[in-house]
Amino acid sequence: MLGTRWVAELPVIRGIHWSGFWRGFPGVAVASPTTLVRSGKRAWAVAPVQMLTINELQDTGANTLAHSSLFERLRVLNIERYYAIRDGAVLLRILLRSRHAVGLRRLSFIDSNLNEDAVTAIVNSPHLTGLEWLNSGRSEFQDQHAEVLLNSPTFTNLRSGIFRSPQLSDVMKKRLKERFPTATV
Amino acid sequence: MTRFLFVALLGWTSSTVATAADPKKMEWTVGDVKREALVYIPEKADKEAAPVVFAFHGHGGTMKYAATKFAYHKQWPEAICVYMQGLNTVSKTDPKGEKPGWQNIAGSNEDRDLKFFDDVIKATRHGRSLSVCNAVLPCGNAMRFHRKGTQNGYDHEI
Repeated sequence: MLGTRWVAELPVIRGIHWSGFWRGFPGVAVASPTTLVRSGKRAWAVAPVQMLTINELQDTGANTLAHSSLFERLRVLNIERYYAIRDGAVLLRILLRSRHAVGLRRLSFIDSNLNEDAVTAIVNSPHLTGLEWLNSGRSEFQDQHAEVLLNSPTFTNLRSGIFRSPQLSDVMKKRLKERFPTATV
Repeated sequence: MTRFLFVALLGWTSSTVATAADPKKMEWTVGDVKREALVYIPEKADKEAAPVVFAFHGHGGTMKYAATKFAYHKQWPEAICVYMQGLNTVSKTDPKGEKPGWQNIAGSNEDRDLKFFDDVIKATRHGRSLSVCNAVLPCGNAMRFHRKGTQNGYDHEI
């Protein structure tokens, strides 16, 4: 109830939709992260935003967020309706190659479709060292990608996630389950 | 039941408090009792309004532990963060009252913690209300937003 009240009392910031809570702090949803970066001061003046949902990841938004220090303050990044074949895996590469991605604890792709290049962009990111949970959504997640998650020092903090893919072998699914018992594989 | 206005956007005016990167210990005398809190003041708080976060340690805890564990000043450096220190308090798990905690309802313990809270709030000005709720325990619903596991102490952001 207090959460609802809190959100109701938050100011209206054009383009920013207060959405959900992450560890007690209101999250935001935006069409483009550029909106959040532009309004960052106003948003962070009323709440320590740690959870961001991006409805539409595009070139400008990816670049703006990747170069913003505000990115570093995000712990949860939800990307919705991202179709790598249509939108290009390069957007993900830009975002996850940013040194500011280091603060992320949860990364989730919702109603999205990641092709091989996009999944590669995730597992090849050198900055996801704090990542604890990954939802790759519908993806071309393959054994080679899973191998990186299992062995790369970047992902030592990864505890669980959703790794659904028809391209994963049964052997790899088993290995993933052994390493991440609560994961959906 | 006593209700308190939680003031969320406040300008800090105390000239006795130095701006610091880490919370600094401040003292208040409430009645005859010396009370302490660790207070983090953002650099710009003397120039523009800043949000205020109060964090309450659990029963048996300390303000130092709360500042280290909750670390709201690191998660939200734009905000003034107050980690108050409770006094020894009788509770179900501590019938002799040997550990620090908080009054658990308005009117108990001579409202010592509500008075302390009021005094901390008085150290601010330019307040405007964000929400109205009972101070200390009745506001405990807010703890769900943060952490579980505390008993008589609650942490809640305003």
